[in-house]
Amino acid sequence: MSHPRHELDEVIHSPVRLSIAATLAAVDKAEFAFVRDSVEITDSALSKQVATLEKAGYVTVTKGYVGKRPRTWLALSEEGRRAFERHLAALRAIAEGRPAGG
Amino acid sequence: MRPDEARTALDDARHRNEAAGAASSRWVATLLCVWGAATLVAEFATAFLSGPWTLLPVGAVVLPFAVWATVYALRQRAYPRGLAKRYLPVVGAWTALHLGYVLVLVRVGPGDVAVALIGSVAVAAPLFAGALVESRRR
Repeated sequence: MSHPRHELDEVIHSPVRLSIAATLAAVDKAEFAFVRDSVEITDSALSKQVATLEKAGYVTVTKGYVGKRPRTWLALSEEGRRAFERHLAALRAIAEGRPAGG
Repeated sequence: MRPDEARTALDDARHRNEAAGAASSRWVATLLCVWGAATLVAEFATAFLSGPWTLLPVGAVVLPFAVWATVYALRQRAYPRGLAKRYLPVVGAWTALHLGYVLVLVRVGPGDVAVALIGSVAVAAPLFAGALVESRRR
């Protein structure tokens, strides 16, 4: 019987990255500024955390224009969505004192 | 990680998730509401016109709405998940009811207030129902 902490995702475990993943899990895609305002962090801090999530393959970043305004879109990838769900399941197990997958 | 820390992390994740879901759905509810109102006005007016004049409400109400809706949707900062899947039935129902209403109008002819009122409300109903559902989403 393994402790559920082993199921925690190292990338999503950081509180800020968990907030970013939770925000993106609710939407199909969101603009950079929407996520920044939702998570209540600075542009540079969000850029840094998104780079980590993107490197892990959890977030996709798309750049484009609406009229003349440049926009950056963030979306949780399928892999990111699965990792987020697994992480939440592990957190629930820890909170309820259950073993992993129990 | 302690159980209380896990609970705090879960609560925060749920709060962020619900807030983002509600924020991304709000504009969809507005769009559906305006679409419903545009439909109501256009369908009601159509019942009192005949021949080429039936295209007047389309030009005066539906086309400006379509332009506004496109610009409004493109300016949004977040798009809810499964939007097409959720609203395909709404658009399907709206189209079917519109076609049914047009057939009724062709049969009874222009100028019937009861048909105009009941028909336009029926055609717009799926859009208002969608707006209500979307506004209650978390």
